[in-house]
Amino acid sequence: MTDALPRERDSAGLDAAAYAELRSIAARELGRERRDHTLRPTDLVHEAWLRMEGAPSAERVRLWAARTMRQVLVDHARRRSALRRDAGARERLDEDAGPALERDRYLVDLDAALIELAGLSPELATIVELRFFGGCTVQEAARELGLSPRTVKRRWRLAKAWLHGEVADGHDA
Amino acid sequence: MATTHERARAHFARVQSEFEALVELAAGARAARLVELERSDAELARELARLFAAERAAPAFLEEPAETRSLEGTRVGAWRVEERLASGGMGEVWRVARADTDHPWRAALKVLRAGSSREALERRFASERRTLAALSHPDVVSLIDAGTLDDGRPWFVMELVEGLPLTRYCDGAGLDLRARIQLFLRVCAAVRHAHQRFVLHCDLKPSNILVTAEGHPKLLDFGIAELLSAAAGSHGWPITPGYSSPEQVRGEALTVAADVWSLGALLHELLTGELPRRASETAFVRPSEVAGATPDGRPQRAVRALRGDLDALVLRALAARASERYASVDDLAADLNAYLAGRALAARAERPWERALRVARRHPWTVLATAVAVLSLAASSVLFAREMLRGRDEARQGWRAHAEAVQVTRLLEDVLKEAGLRELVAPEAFERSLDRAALRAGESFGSAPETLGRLRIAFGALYLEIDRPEKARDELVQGLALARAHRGFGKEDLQRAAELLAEAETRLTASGER
Repeated sequence: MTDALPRERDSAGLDAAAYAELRSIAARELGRERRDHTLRPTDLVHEAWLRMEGAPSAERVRLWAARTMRQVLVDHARRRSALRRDAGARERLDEDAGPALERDRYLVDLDAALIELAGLSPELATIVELRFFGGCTVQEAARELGLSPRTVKRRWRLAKAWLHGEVADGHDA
Repeated sequence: MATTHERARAHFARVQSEFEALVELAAGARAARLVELERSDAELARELARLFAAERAAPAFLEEPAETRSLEGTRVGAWRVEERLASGGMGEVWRVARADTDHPWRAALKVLRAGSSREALERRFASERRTLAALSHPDVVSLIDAGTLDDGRPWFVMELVEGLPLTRYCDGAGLDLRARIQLFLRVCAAVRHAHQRFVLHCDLKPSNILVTAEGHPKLLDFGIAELLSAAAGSHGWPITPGYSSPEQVRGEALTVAADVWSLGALLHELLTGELPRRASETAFVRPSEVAGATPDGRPQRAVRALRGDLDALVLRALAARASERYASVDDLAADLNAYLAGRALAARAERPWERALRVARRHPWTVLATAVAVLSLAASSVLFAREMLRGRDEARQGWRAHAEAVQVTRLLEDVLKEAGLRELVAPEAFERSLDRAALRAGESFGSAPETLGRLRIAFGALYLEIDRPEKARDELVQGLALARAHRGFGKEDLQRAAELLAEAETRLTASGER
């Protein structure tokens, strides 16, 4: 029974319970408000994994981790940006915040662009999630999606070029 | 009826299929296809051009993953990951502790970095692991364990070296020139060990040579090391400015000469505190000048210690052309050992006059006697030339002797010039030298009358050359007496001596000195 469960999940549909679990762990991580904020997606996913009954099939682990990572990072960036806006209304932003601020805006914009890209081609958006948020290699992404590495490479290039056009305005990256 | 969204998707599908058809084409073919497309669908062509422009403008965009996975606190094989020590282009290095013993045995874990396109990196990583496994030397970091992470990343554990980069260690410990060279020789031995196993390090620099508190050097980071055979066809080496050899910078095939060059740069830094300073496109300023030019008033002693042997040695290792460098690390080490032992260096052997010069400084009299003998040979060759003009039988033989004499004389001139004995060229000084040589000859060659006889005649010829007929006559008289008493002299020798004596007498008569 636990064996059958993971294979029924489709590519986009993370197990709802698993997703919620990951989100709660992520929220807890962020709640610590460590100054040197470095998330550990592997730890994160691993921990969530251990708590779950009937883990999804191994092939889906990467995509699941990548999407969790995206969600956590973007949420965090959005929240920090909001906090800074409030603070900025009262006092000048400290100079150290510059690069971090840039990074946060960039992540939020990228997320928005990625949602748009998913509307045009879900596959391209998934490749970006795997590569950028999941830290997958072309090979790994190819295995994940059942495509040839060469195809993934071509589509990765298109996705990057397209996203760059969307988010480059106002960002140096 | 299609919705806006459906139209957008259809349009994007078209863009995607065109992009994928064009993306792997060469730039020229792609441009040609875009021009073609412009006629049928200008908007699509512009959109594609924009995408390719974006790709060109930001090659690094999104290539670095949003977050890299941390290994801290995890178990890798039998090891517990403690703290990140370094993070480089290829991978990360973590301090780890053996988890299955009571005595925490610490070591360094190297893991390929997560994410990023890494097929080439994986090859390099595997190559480093193989390289370390092939090496076994107390001064080369050793491989302890290896494996693969759950996510497929290869890792290996190596000896943890806690120490300072070579140059900083030397400065901190206040090592003198000799101690620096001795430590450097140990590094040479470690590099030689690798070379003997057909491994080039390719990235020798202070930060890759750590010295422990006990003073033991450890060679690390064989990350871009190559098997000699593989290096012959490889390109695109990572470069460390200042330490990478010219051929490595040019991306050419590498040999042991590349490591020899890097060692030369390292030695230069150890001796002068600075990296080699360029004098021209292909040449470097002598280390002694670099050391002498330091503004902090470095003692002249350092400059003097470097001048000569060490200058030549370092510059030989740093020669622009690999073929002009030491052929091996062994040869470099041999010269350093020769320097420490006060013996002659191979680095200076290619210029005979330099070698002669060294001997000259140590044994000025021997040199002078030799010089005089050689000069006399030159003088005799002039006589031979005269004889040839007179059509004598010995003409051909004379020419050969003359040619040899000219060569030897030139060599000797070099010796004299470089020896700082330039004043010898001045007749007065030359005369004084001849006087001393003549005096010395009697003491040195008393038991070899034949040699002494030849020398006397040679001295006589030389005195004539500088127009000292009186002294010439004295020498020639003695020389002739010796020549007549010994069968080693031929008729020609006697005749020549007699002619020289006649010449001397003639001049004396003419000047009225008699």
